[in-house]
This record gives sequence, structure tokens and C-alpha cells, in this order.
Amino acid sequence: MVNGSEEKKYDPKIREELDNADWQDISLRLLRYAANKAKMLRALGITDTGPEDLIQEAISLAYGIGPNNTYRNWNKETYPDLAGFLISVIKSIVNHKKEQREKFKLDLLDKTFDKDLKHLSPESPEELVTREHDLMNLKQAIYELIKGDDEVEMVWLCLEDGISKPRHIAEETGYDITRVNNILRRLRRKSKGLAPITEQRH
Amino acid sequence: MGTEDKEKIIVFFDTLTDALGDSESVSKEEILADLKEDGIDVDASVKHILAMVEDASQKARRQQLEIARERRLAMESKKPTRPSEFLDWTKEQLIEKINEFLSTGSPIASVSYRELESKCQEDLVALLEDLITTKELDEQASHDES
Repeated sequence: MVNGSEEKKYDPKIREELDNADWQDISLRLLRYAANKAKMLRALGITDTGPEDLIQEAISLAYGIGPNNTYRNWNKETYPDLAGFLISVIKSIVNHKKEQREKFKLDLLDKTFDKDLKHLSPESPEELVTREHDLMNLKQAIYELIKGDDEVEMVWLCLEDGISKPRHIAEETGYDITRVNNILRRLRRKSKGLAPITEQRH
Repeated sequence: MGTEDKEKIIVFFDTLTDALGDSESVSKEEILADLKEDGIDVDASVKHILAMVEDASQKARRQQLEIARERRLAMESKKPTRPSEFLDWTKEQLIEKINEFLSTGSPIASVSYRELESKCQEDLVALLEDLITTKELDEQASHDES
């Protein structure tokens, strides 16, 4: 996230494109991404951030009116379409929250925590550590559900290697993109109901 | 659980949620179906997002106009006071000129004719000068960039 004191200034030209964008379509893509990332934050104990909170912050940053004068400039070479750019902003917000959580946990252990970050998690460091154990158990539980489905297992291996883009998974597995998306849908359905990663915040 | 394991598990769920949230090659109908399956009230959420965009757009316009106003005041405080060239204009002339800006996507494009009519002449002159300053700043920024 960039703030006003950094070298590259906010370029307000993006505002016109934001004003004229097809938000019906963009909203669906943002919702899909943000809903999944919010589930992950929840699984990490960050319970105050839902999908719409992530989207709202990304929109504010793109308009140059983020909290504490923060903003994000749109690099069209990296993200040719607006939805892709906003998704990258959400990703960066999520990463920032994860880093804050980690800092909060370490500070709690040191008993020097910043009270301003207390809202990030009402939990004790022990509970935060337990959440990480829960994630390990959750991963194992999901794996048990997909075991035996060769296609899902193949995609699972890609995910373990850090490959998240369906088109990259397609390249890696030799499956076509539609097949990869169907496999991911199967994975999502199989893991549905396993708290907390699949739990939806209301 | 070691630090490495802990980092690995978080990276894995990050990758998993990136993959499940990806929409690059998914149709609108599929996205809709998946969101509904996840229990999301799509219509309400989209409506909420459209309102967020409208709100952010308004705030950004106000911020842009505020910056122009601050710059104009700063410029005025440095220069010897000069009477505005618009002081002799009638309200109708001022509104007509402001409307020219409204039709070209100015930062106050949302101000209605009725709102302009309710302003006093001094306020209209200040608004017109702010709009001119905004335009000059935009032109200067484009020139600097090129």
C-alpha cells in the first residue's frame, strides 16, 4: 500500500475509468475473490473483515481516498483489466492484515503488543497458535475427502507447489482450463462444511 | 509446529483461496452459481458495491475540488489581490459557464442546476474559479507527464 509520502504520486486519471466501469460484472469477480480471502482471514482469527470490507477498502484505495491518505496506482501493463487490478489490491490488503496479525501475535508473546492492533484478534497468542494447528488439521481433513479422486489430487499437488492460477494449473497438469475449473469446483464442494475455512461471515 | 510448517500451511491456504477465488476463465453464470451456492445474497452485495463506488467517487470529487480550492487560496495569498474577472458577471452567466464544466466531467459533475441556483453570486464566482484552477492543474499535470 502506498501513502502520500512516497515518491510516486497518485494518478487521478483512474477515477474516470472507475466511474465508467461495468461494475455489475466487476462486482461478481471481486465478490468471488474477496469471499474466499475473507474465509482465510477468518480461519486465521481475523474476524472483523468480511468480503465487502475488503472490496470497500480496495475501491477507496483505487479512488485515492484510502485510510491515512493511502492509495494504489493502476499499472495497466501488469493488470490490463480493472477487475484484475482491484483483485491485486484486495490481495495486498489481505497480506497486510496477515502481517499485522503475525506482528500482533509476536508482540503478545513479548507482552509489548500495540493496543491499536488489538482489534485484529481477540485471542491470546496460545489461541492464535492453536489456529495454525487447526489449519494443519483442516488441510489434512480436506485431503482425506479428496483422496482417491485422481484429478483433484493432481490439482492439490499444484496448490502445494504454490500454483494458484487455473491457467498455470492447466499448463502443469495438461488438463484444459474448463476441466481445471470443474476440478476446483469439485474441491470447493468437497471441502464445504469444514469449519473454519469454509465458514461464511455474515 | 515449527515456524517453517506454520508458514507453509498459511501459504497453502493462501494459494488455495487464490485458486478458488480466481475468475479469469470462469463465465459470469458460473460465478453467480458458485456465489449463490456459498450462501451469498448476490443482488444485495452487488447493490452494496455499486453504492460503495458511488460514495467513493463523490468523496474523490470533493477531495479534488478541495485541493483546487486550497491551491487557489494559497496562490491568492502569495499574489497581490486582484479582483476576479467574474465579479461583474450575472448569476445566469456564471451558472451557464459552470454548466459548461458540468458537461465535461468536472469534479462537481453531480451538482444539480437547482443547487447552483440556490448559491449566492460570490459562491458561484469561487466555485467557477476552483473549477478553472482544477482544469489548469489537470492540464499542467498532463503537460508535465508528456
